[in-house]
Amino acid sequence: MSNPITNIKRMEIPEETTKERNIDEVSRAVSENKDAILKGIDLLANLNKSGSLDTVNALVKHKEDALENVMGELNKPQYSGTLENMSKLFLFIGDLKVDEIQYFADRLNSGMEVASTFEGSDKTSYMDLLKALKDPEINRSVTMLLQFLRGMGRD
Amino acid sequence: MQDQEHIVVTINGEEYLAENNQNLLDLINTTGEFVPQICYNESLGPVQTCDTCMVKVDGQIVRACGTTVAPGMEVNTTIEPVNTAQKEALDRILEKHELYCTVCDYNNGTCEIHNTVAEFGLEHQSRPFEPKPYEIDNSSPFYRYDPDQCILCGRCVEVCQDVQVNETLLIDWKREKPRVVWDNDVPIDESSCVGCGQCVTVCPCNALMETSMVGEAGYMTDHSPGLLRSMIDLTKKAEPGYGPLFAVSDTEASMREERIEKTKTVCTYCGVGCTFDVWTKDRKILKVEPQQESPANGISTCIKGKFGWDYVNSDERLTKPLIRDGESFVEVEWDEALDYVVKRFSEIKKGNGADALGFISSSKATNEESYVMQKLARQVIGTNNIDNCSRYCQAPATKGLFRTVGHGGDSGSIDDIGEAEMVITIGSNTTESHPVLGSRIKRSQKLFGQKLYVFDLRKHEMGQRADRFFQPKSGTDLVWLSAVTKYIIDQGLENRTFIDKWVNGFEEYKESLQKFTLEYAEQLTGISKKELIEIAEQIVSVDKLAICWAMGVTQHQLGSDTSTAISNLLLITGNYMRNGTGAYPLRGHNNVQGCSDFGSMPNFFPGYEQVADNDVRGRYEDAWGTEIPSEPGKDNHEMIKAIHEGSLNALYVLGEDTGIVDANINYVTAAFEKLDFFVIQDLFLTKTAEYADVILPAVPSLEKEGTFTNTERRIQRLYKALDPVGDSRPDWQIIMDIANKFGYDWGYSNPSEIMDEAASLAPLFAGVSYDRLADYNSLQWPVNADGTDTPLLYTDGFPFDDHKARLYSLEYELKYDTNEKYDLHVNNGRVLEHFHEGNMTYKSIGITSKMPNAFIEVSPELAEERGIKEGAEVKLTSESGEATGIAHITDRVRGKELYLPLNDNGKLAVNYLTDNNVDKDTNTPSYKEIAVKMDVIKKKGKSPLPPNNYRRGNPQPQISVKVEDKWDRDDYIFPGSQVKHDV
Repeated sequence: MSNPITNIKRMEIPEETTKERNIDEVSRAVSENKDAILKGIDLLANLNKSGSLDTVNALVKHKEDALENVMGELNKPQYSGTLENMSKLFLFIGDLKVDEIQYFADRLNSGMEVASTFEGSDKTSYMDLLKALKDPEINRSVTMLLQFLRGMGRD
Repeated sequence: MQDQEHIVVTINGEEYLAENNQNLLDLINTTGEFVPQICYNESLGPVQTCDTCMVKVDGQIVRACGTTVAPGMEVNTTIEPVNTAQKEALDRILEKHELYCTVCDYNNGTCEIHNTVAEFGLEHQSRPFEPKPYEIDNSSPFYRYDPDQCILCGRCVEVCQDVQVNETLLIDWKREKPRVVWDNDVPIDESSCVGCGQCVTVCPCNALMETSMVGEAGYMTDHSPGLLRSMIDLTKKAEPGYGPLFAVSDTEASMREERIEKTKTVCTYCGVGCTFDVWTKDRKILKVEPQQESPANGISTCIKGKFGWDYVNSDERLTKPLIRDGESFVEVEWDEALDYVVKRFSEIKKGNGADALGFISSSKATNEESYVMQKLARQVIGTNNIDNCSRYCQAPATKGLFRTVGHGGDSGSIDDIGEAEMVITIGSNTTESHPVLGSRIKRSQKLFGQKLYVFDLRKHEMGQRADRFFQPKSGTDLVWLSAVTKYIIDQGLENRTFIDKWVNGFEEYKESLQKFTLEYAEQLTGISKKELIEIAEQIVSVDKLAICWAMGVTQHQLGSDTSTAISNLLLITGNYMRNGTGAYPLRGHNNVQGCSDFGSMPNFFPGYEQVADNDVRGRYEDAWGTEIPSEPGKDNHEMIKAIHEGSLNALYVLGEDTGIVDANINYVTAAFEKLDFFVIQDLFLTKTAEYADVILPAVPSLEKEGTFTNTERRIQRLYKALDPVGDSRPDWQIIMDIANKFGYDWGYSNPSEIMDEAASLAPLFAGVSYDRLADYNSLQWPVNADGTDTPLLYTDGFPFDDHKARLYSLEYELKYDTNEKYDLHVNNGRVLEHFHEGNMTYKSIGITSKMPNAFIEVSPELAEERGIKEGAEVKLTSESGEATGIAHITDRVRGKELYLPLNDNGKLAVNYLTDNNVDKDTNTPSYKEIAVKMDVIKKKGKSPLPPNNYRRGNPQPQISVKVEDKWDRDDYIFPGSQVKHDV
């Protein structure tokens, strides 16, 4: 003989029991993953020591704000050239022949060394220039520059 | 000489064998050659809108998807200018679609634009993206449309027009900036959209997306719109070539796999048996994704299967066992609840005998759960008092088929219904009750010339679409069926060869038809003699006829006989044993077929073997080490009666809201009050559970493993997508726990072991195993031990001793009519949006916003006669009880017929009105025979049908997406010819 009823008395699980169960679950997980947990603690300690933990924590809390600021800033017109150049620069680097540039750069460096130690103030006359061509070092440089100009002008 | 079946086609210099009339793109896709393709989808066929699959065929540049192979065809997919034409087409797509994959919710590895661009190796966009001047349409609770991301491929239109055949979506090619529109350009929510979600499923990108996915799928997609926009802009600046963009977004996509689970499951609503992947993130259900290889449905779903899963995470779920204590249920631990159940069952069995206990299985639960429930009743308790809800709906159809052809199931598959030249539906509101199957019929009729004849009281969608629609008087289908059969025989138009070879009892049956003259039928059914002759002539003019029927046939006092008459007609015309023919009783619940198949029947063991058969019973007694009574037990209806009589004292009901869905619920609930002990196992505190002594919290399909059997006799596996909520448990486990507390040692560790046991005992399922059912594999019973199954029944004859079918003679007498006092007929049944008593679907906010409550359909004639208008409040009174509700005036019903959706468990529950009359052969309640009188409480009011219900929309029928209109635009240039100009 049962009439229809709808009331439900929920089982009241004491807070203590829930807490105990949760702690059980966590300690089981800790024991099963001892090594990883210890390494994790080490990582946290290091982050904390360096002050990074606070920074990361604050950043995560304000993720949406931070993202909005960064996005807003990066989307300003003055950055768009940089952003686009960044990837173009990346591709450009791939085209460079580093060995040859290095040779060129070495030459350039020793040229600069000599130039920077030169202290005279006399002007160089047309005749001085012709005479200078006889200097094997200068002649080598001019020949190289002429070859460079030839290559640069090539179709 | 070319062989007839195959032709040779050369692709990039290699020769390939193609099938006659094969689509060229289909062929190319089998060769390993890559041709970009975005609008093409195997399930939809070519729509020819995206222009990316350009190839050179015999010197001409053409769309591969729009080309049929021909002998000797020379195809090139890579040379110039083919490649340039493909690139041009891709560029046009990228003008319409912004690639910001990393912050896109659709970046899950399946975006077809992303994948095509990546595989093609396109590095840069030649022309910039151009936004369209339209806002995102967020009006629907189920999905949203973003015109800016839409590439106008038209797949959504194709699927809506020609697969779902709801004819809501189209592309308006005439505007300056074309877009997809709903009806005559209204917001999605106000359109005729039925929420089947198939447009979303086939969308190749994020233009159409489930709202449950938005902001949920990605790691970086849940930001406010402004921030998201900034991120999109930045993504585009920082990742200018597609290479780097894809590298980042592909990485993010694979990270998503870490937290999004995709689990194959089987729909838990109607009997079509749709399968799909359900995407979950923790407990959140992100989306339902049907697959091309889904056996019953392919890419199709309906509103409930696609969007109706909120009940799984409802706050109202029961999470602990409950025991009645005075005026409250008290939550207890499992041991306490189960000990109590076992103690009370034992006491009642000891005091009153095993037959004082009754067991009712659920058509929502799995095959394995049906099996263990009947095993609990038979082995542990020792009674055959076990039944299931097919008693309420399908038992008469099964009976009719057993009498004539020997198997109680659909003759073939849904494919056979699609393939038939003519389909007759009787008493079936197919598009609302079995939506995906209804769509198959609509598609065949719309595109392939299938003839559709619909017989129903009510002019529902199928009635409106039918080639011929007939409204026979309620309960007289047997008469027109028999009269048409008699006419065919009288004219000598029966299939003589078939009858001679395969059918017994012709002469006797012919004799029995004497009474069913055309005049008699016209008088009883209201279908004219001329029409009856036309029906007969149409039937014999086709080679392949399939008849589908449902509750409009079975829920009558002559439900079994009418089902028999259908089968007789099919036998006389030779419409069995071949593809495209046969009998299709459309099963109503996801597992109403399987629940009976696996033995939850008072007279049958699993596989429909008689309890009374000594050999069969011996087999089970040996296996279970117990004695089983040889007498069949009580069915549902008899159990309720026995409770009233005092001979049944305890009832265990699994997943069934009997107190709402059984007929004459005042009588049923009065029985519950008389029970000594009542156990309910359910997800919710249902109306029935309110009477229980113990309520055991079970889990829905997404939280367990098992198998369901659909209307095609197709057994399909479901996998566990979520963990059970709280302390709830799968039904099979609860039943096993009870058995074990009774001292048995049922050691099932997984439902697969239950299936193995059932397969070892029931020959019908001999070869069924979980391995053979892995993923999207399925088996249609009977299944031989070697695993071969039976998509089409009777190909080698009928399962009787001489392999011949039997014609079954029938009588007829009109059992029910309205009368002077109760002058209105109440028809009742389903609506698309809700399911059964609504315990599941009303938990969905989206679905409830579309249909918040049931209502009473009243014809315009009757409304005028009674002086009522839309929204009037009326009271219906029958011999058994009364129900009140709000009227909706519609010409779907006519004259003195009312229609009442059965999805209400409040004051408008239809079963307050139904009575104790039943089908004489199966005890199925005659739900469809209710005479009432109507009292007007209020003359008009607010319409019960909200303005955003699809029934108020304006569909725009057309075939496909009308790509010709695109080609006719002044600004359209065929990429192939543009390339030629440029070169």
